[in-house]
Amino acid sequence: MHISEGVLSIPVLAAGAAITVAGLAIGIRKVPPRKLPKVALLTAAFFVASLVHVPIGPSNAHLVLNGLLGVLLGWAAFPAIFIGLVLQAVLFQFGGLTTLGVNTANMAIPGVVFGLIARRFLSLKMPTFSAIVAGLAGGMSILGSGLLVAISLGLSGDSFSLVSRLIFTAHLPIALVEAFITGFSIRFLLRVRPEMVGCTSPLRREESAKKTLNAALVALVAFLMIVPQGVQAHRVNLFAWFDGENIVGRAYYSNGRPAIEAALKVKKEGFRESFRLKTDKEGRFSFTPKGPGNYELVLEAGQGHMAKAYVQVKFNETLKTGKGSNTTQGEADAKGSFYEEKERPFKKDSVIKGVPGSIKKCQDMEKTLDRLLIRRLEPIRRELEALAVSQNKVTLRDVISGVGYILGIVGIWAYLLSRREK
Amino acid sequence: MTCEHMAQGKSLLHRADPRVKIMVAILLSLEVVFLSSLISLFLALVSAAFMLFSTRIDTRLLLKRLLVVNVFVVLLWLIIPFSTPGPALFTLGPFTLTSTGLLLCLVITLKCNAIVMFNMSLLSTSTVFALAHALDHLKVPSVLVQLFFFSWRYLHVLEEEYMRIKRAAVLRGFRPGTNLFTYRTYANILGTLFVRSYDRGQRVYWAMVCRGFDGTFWLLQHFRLRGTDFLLMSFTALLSTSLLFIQWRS
Repeated sequence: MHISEGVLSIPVLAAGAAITVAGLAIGIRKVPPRKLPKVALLTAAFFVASLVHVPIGPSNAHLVLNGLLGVLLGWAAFPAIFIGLVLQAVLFQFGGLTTLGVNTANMAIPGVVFGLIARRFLSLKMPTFSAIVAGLAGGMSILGSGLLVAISLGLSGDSFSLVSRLIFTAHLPIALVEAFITGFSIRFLLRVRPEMVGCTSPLRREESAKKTLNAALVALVAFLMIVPQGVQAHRVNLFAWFDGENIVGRAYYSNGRPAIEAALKVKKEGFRESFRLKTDKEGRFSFTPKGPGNYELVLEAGQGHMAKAYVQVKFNETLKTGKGSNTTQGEADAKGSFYEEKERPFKKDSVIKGVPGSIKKCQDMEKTLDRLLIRRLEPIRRELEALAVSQNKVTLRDVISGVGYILGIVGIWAYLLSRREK
Repeated sequence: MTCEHMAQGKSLLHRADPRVKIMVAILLSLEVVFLSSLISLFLALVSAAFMLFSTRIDTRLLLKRLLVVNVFVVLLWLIIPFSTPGPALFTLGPFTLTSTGLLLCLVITLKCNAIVMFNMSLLSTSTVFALAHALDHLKVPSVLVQLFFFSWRYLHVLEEEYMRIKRAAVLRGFRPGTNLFTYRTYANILGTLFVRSYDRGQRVYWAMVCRGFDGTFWLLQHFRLRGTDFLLMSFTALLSTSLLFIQWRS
């Protein structure tokens, strides 16, 4: 949950601090002197609650309760969480001053957003439904802050991709427990002290319908804001094609960075032996295939990152005769694509003088045209490649599966509760 | 709960002006974040350790706190050297240890410990009472200062309250486990805690209003710069310039 000092990069720290300052500015306005002692007392209560260790299977976890804080305090949760972290830094030396901004933002943003959304659904008339909504908010807040922690780490450098994934995964069981605790707490408060949750009188129907619509809109916006960030995955992609003479391509990680000096294994269909080459500093590679056929390229970028691509090589008759002789397996050069290769002398006269019937001239022309076309198409191809890179950047799978996990569990819980109430 | 144990002491840093200490802590922490050369980071760590040592706080307490801080760092040491792309030092099955990863880990460890040690020696050596006053003198928004102060004021009260409720639950045979009943019980315990703190907040507010509270945080403690503070300031200036110089040279 906490990110330690010295890990995050400076832009991430600055962004976190800026967000926290903005959140504090809003939050402070929501705390008039009249409410100050209450907010302070609740802050202290949450600080105490965060020292509570709740068993989860063989181990235990301490509660965060940012969702519950958001439900009870709304925007004032921002200063409350900030103060909690300052107290932790001063009294227990958990973390220090530089990460205060990022840590506050990571915990408070989801808490405030989901808390404000959940608040709109709470009503005295439907305690079970309210509890479920609050539970969802509690779980989603933890997932959201897990995601934000992962993003802050991921944005700080490629090295943290694995750590950020682990941390996000570690948040899943905590989110589950928090969902239960938040839901049950809200249920308790609705019974015992409904004014704490802001429910003094049951809502009229049309009013609640309006509120539901509002809440749905807010939820949609919040979802759209949070989801596209995605956890920085470290998958490696391989993009390869045959340009008429060589097989060229590019290898890049899913965050768009090239896979530098990654080993590439090339195998031709129907042959047992393969050969290896390495990508260059831009993640590009190029080699000359030996004869037509289907080629299988396997990229190994270390740490078990693998990607496969299949390239079909179909020579024109002309090209085959032109190139077939001087290709050997060892010739694969990784220096650069065909683009930097030396130009073959362009025989102008051969085109002009060329007699339509002459096969030799025709072949020459075809070859030249091929090369010209490739050169013309190269920018488009690069653009396509860039498009493919940008589309692969975000992996939504983790996010959606996490959300689905919580939704499913809360659904089961809701079912059990509704059965009991009958 | 063990709080403010580090604030008891009579060392130079304990006696220094909390305003100066807060500013120095912010300055040094920010500077360490910007550093990247190993030598300057080592210097920062050594001077932080020196400052911490000069406070003469119980070493066992210090080590315990530092151990907690370094749990995350240990996690990084287990993962980062293998997940960072770079020249391989050696390969063990599917894992490749890279020198860039090791270097990154070392930098993080140094930074983290240096910053935490600066904070320990500068912030934790003041009482929260003094810190709140210093923050107000430093023009931090009054609401934040008051929240900080009140939360700390009632932290112990609420912790006792929590222990009391929990004791009541345990006396009635409550045993925590991984089940819904446990979670519901904890939720009810926390709910009770929240209700009680809410009510207490209301009572505290009324009591304060009776005594003329209008949202102002009245300053009872005023600070004056003394020799110690100038010593601390000049030490900071010397340290930060030399850190920057080393960083710039390398």
